[in-house]
Amino acid sequence: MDNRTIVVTGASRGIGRYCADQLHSAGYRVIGIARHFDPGAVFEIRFADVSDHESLYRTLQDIRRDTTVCGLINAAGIASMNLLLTTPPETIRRIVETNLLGTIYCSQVVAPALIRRGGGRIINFSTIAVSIGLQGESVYVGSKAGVEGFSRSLARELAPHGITVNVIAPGPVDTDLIAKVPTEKIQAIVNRQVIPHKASLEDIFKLVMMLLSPESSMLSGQVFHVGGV
Amino acid sequence: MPLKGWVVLTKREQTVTFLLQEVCTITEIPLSSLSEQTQLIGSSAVLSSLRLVELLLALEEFAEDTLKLRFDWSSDSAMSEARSSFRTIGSLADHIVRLKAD
Repeated sequence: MDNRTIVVTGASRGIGRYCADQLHSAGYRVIGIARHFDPGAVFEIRFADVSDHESLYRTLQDIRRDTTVCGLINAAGIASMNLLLTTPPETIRRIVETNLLGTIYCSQVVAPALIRRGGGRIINFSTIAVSIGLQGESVYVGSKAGVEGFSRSLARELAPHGITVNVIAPGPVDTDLIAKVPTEKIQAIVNRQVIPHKASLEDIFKLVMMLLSPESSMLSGQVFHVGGV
Repeated sequence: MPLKGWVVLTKREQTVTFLLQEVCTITEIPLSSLSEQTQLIGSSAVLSSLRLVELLLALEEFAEDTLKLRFDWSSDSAMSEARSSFRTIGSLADHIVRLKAD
């Protein structure tokens, strides 16, 4: 895997961190994008705010012509469990900027490398909350619904270049993102899944690996619900 | 500035020459049928959007290697037939020369 580089955003924690660690162990060169220093990271970390296009462009400019780059995993995301009427505008802005704009910006910056390579994979993250219209998460759901629409459209734009774009939309997974959500709320969401068990980080990563594999070359523009919905 | 015989090419001329050759290669349209007025976007474009992306990426490499210029392709009017800097070979060369001058 020496000649395979994957860019992973949100690489300092949660799903992004898990994927980055596992991909590194599997032999990929991983370029993790994070806002914070992580002394425990065994893969290459570059500091950038995914919602800041200029910062991202500067940070990743050198990979635009790097044909070892074969994939992008947009895992950076934030959430805020709150009623719309009581969510501060600054929080709304941060959620949309990180989840939606961050995904768009990273795709825009990394796509030239994938096009030059002649193919690649972009994997974005949404949530079961979009499909079930989860109450109390309207801004988060709105930002992730945007990710799903963006991904479907981008999949068509990049298909002629051999690049697939897919979305993984898990139910609740044990990460910092849901750490403050009451257990009964989490269980209620899990109960709405086809498979009413909380997915593990490993479950998510298995799907990531499947989507990265050559066997998935005919899968694009799809939203995959881990646990089913 | 490189010499072509005894003629010194300006940055704009180098860029136009590169673009003409690149469009010729991508589209297989004879060089003699291409000019600065050749349309790159819009109803009379000689390139599909897929081929336009190829051209822009090739131009990005030319600009970086030959003109020592790094830039971002994103533009508010990129695909506007009326306003885009990408509408013809000539306007695209002008755009690159402007970026180099800034």
